[in-house]
Amino acid sequence: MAIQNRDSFLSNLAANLGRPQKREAVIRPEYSVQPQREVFKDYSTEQLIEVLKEHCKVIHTDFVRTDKSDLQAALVKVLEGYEATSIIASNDKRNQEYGLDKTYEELSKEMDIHLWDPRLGKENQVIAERTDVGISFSDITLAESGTVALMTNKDNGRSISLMPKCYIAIIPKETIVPRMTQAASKIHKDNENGTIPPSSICFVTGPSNSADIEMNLIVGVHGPVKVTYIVVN
Amino acid sequence: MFITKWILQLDEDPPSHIVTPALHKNREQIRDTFRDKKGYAKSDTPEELASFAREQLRQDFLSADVGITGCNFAIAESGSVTLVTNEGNAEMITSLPDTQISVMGMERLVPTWEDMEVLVSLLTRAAVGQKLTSYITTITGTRIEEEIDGPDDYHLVIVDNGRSKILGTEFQSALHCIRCAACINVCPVYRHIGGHAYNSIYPGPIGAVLTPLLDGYEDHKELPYASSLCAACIEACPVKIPLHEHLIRHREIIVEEEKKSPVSEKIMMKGFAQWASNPAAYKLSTKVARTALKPWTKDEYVENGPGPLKGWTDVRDFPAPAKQSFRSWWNKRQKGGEA
Ligand code: SF4
Repeated sequence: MAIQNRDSFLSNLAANLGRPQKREAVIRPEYSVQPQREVFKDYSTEQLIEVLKEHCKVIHTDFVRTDKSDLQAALVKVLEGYEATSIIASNDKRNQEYGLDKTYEELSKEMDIHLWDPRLGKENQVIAERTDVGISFSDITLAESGTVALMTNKDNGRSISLMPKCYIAIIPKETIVPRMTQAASKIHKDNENGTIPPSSICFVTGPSNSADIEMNLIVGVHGPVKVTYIVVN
Repeated sequence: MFITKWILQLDEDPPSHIVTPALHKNREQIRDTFRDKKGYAKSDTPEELASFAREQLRQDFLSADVGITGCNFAIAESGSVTLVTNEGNAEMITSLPDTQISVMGMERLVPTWEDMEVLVSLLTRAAVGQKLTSYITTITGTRIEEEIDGPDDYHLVIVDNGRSKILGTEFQSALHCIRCAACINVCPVYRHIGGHAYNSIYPGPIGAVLTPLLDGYEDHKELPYASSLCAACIEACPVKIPLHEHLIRHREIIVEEEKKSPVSEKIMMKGFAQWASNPAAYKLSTKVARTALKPWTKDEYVENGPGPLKGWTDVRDFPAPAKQSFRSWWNKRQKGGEA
């Protein structure tokens, strides 16, 4: 990593502020007012799921709730609704825990299933682009805004949630928090404890959209056109 | 890339608004641009226009070597860059090309993720009335070994471009701007004259404050007069920049220090008086401002929001566009209605 012009940049700032360059770190103040922490503060997970479900209506996202044992059936039903003939999914450890590895195996008899594979390099992106449905797990789920936070790693590429026409997020119930505040605090604390954030964290809220043409809302622009959240107990 | 920014590029036309850059174009014009420049043969419905743009731009995204983005907020503690969009364009640009360049205004910096979160919440709410936009993308450096998406070569360019001169001056608070455009949407003068009249990439009240600071008074001495001083902008601004006070100060500087003729002030105020005293024109343009946010606000907003939002509203009023303009409030009040 190279940093260019750092000194002249900083000394220019100090000069404009009429003080010498600061050498010691600024201590972050304790904010006296933090209303963001009060939102849905004492809500139970059940109540938060209700909030999430309600907000899905606003963000053009289908909401499904199921038990772990019925996940396969619920997923197949959504896939049928999307008339899916191909799937790209993360190669997540949780696939086993949730029985999705078996589901994918069975589904592969009738459709193309691709699990993200780092050995294939950019080919993953090309597959994602021509695939009907992307499926991955939410790492943190924000009830207030109906958002799934997706953390990238070598088995879980960003293209999965971005390139296919439809996207399905599997939401383990315990990932649900009130709002973005809790997600940001967690990432902040991890970072302070020496765990740097993943190379990308995407907060995805429903399908992509635009209201740029005459202020008409169009759902489905560069990213997916349809999105379903499956909350798993 | 935002679809509308692409439209403007095809047309070699400057943006007129900082959130919806092609606000000045209607769909027939957009269809004609696509037809003339890209051989588009379908209708002018927004859905078909958007899906055409999606196809065309996808090819560009997949084949590009370099992706260039702006930066809504940069997080100091982890060196992360945050991009806020609805279309998914920033996701594409930061996922697919191998080289990425992010260009960031020097005042976009926040200390921690927690601070980023507060500002993103303010931005999405004030800009488009959403709790969060469809995509809040945060990138921390290059992709890690064995990852496929994201750049392997990453450059962050921090732009000063006159901003540091504003530091330490009475205008410093203008650097707090998070580019939400709330002040622009409520500005009666903007609604009247349109974005291009400001001759700057920042139109509206914030443009009138910032442009002379960044680019000097010489070419922009009319801008501080492009305001009725109605203070609607201050009320809308989520970070409470005293916009019209800055405008008054600009006027003072122009009139007193530079001894520039105050004639323009007289002319401007006369124009405003004529327009404001024409009730039909005034009503129309302020009404339009309020519908500008409508596409997203359907089921949203404080009045039917759930109880817990109270924590926010207890502390301060949200910049939700007023349902009632001052004028209609006044009329009602005169007739004995509630205030
Ligand atoms: S000045 Fe305030 S209201 Fe205007 S764009 Fe900036 S932050 Fe938004």
